[in-house]
Amino acid sequence: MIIELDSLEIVFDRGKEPLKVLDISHWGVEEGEQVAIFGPSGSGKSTFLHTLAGLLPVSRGRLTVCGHALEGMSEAKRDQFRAQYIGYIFQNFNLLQGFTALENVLMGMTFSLRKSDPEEARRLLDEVGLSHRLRYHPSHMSSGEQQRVAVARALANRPKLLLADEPTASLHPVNKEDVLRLLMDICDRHGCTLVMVTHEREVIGLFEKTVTFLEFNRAYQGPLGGKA
Amino acid sequence: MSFWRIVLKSLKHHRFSNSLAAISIATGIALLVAVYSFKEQSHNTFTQVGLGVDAILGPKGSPLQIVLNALYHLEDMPGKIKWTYFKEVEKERIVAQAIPFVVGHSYGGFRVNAIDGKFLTEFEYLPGKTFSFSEEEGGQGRPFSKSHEAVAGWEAAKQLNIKLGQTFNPVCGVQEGDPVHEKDKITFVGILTPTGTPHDRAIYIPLETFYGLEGHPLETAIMAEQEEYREISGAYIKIKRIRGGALHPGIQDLKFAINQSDRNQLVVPAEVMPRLHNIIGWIDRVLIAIAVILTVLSALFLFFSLLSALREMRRDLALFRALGATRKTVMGLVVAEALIISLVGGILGLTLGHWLIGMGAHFIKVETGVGFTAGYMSMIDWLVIPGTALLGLLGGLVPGIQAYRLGVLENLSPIS
Repeated sequence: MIIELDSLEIVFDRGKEPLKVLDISHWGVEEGEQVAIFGPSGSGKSTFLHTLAGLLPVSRGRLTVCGHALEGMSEAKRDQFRAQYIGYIFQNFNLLQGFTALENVLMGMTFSLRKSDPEEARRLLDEVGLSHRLRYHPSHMSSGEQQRVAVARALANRPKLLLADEPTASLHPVNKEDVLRLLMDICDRHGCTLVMVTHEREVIGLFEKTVTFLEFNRAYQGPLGGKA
Repeated sequence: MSFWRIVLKSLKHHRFSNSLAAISIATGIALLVAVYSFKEQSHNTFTQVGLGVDAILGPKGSPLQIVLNALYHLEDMPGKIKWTYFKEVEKERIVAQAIPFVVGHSYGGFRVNAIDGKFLTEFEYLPGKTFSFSEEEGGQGRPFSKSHEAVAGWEAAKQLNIKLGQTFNPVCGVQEGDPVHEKDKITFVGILTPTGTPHDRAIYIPLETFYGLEGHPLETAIMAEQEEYREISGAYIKIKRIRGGALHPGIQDLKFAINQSDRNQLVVPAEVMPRLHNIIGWIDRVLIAIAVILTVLSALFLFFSLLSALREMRRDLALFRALGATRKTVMGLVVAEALIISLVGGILGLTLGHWLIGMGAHFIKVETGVGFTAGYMSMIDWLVIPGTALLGLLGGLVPGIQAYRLGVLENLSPIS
């Protein structure tokens, strides 16, 4: 199993009343699987993804990702873990505006233990169909192209697990399926496990394995109560 | 992509505010460098030379003016003294050496002083150092040996491109537009090696040449023949030493005796120069205070421009964190930016400061005759790089800590 969790709880410290946003009894993902997690906005999907990426600490319970137990792991260790094992794609691309497409991809290698390899960055951009946009800055690219750069960047550190947070939400409907298929194909080619969260019902049909987030997040109290 | 490449990219991305911060630092540093250089150079100039002359025999008038004229070739001598009186002083038992001179002529903006030949051969302009014409050290020729021969100081020769055998007509006065002794051609026979003193910026002719110059009143010509009528501007006096190298204490009695006379006085440069230093020191302190305030303001400007840039950089830094950068790394990025801006400002300031010295030196030379060197390295020059590095570290510290504390998620994607 590449992801395995037991009695996972994420609690936000909000003064006198701590807010429990995640409470999942048991869940797991096999290596190489492609999983879509579906749920309405505010249900805690992104929080769950952030926890898997080590961006949030585990409050209670047990969470093992890529063979590393994240509970009790220091923030600096989680940073290292993320740099080495995780690729992350954001809903709003989050590309560095002052950097070219090629430099954005190189940035994905910078903080991992790997040496930055411009040739590999070029190859990744070629793989997502952007070999003609290497020197372009994000502001000069379409939203579909920007998300492709984000995909290439997420793969730059050769991650074992690719986490995608609503990767198609900001895209034009015409581009959604293209980007999603690209993401799934590229994960297949790179032997990378894919976990994607989405609130778009129309995209989950592409996945063999789908989880409805409400099924297992016992902390979810409705559209407002579960909002983190 | 290396750490420093990311820093440079980020600097480029905020180039406008970063350039302003660097320029403001450069301005403060330039002023500091220039003021300190002028301070040190003027201090060196106005303290070193007095060492060669224990006292100056001159006319009544401002002692400071006499020192500035006799030692630094500035200002005018306030009058003249009788040759016969000079001879009396020369015979005093505590006087080791007395060199008479006449000032009031110039050539190409440099003073032409008529002086006793012993000045070039026996006079020690600094303890143990006499003038030299050694070609190996940059000198040429020989001392003057007859009338209408001249010797140029090293700087004067360099500035006027003087060659041996070249002739010139001295100007009767030291101001622009003063009349020229058209019929008197004086030949350069020697160029002194550099001494690092104002003597480098003067031209020397024999004392007797002064009395023979065409165009002077008849009385001046008579002075050449009849000693009782002869006048000079003043004389450098060396006092005998007592055991241990100190001046003979009799100098105070001699000074008292001479100062009782109606027309003469004995000026001791070591007593007069502190007054000049007080005047210069006060101006120095004001200028240094302005420069320090400017530098502090520029450090504050750096601090606020970094804080402002940090607001724009929050998303980028949060993204670095999301990609695996540690808190220390993002703090390092911000501090490194501050360090580079500050160092660039420092290097620019150093260059600009020396350029200012060069420009200022030109005008000061024209106006006062005091020479300053743009290439002179003052104490502050050696402190600029470590100082600006420290400034950058301090200026970048608070923005760096803010970057360290930056939350990743609140600066990135919305929560769903």
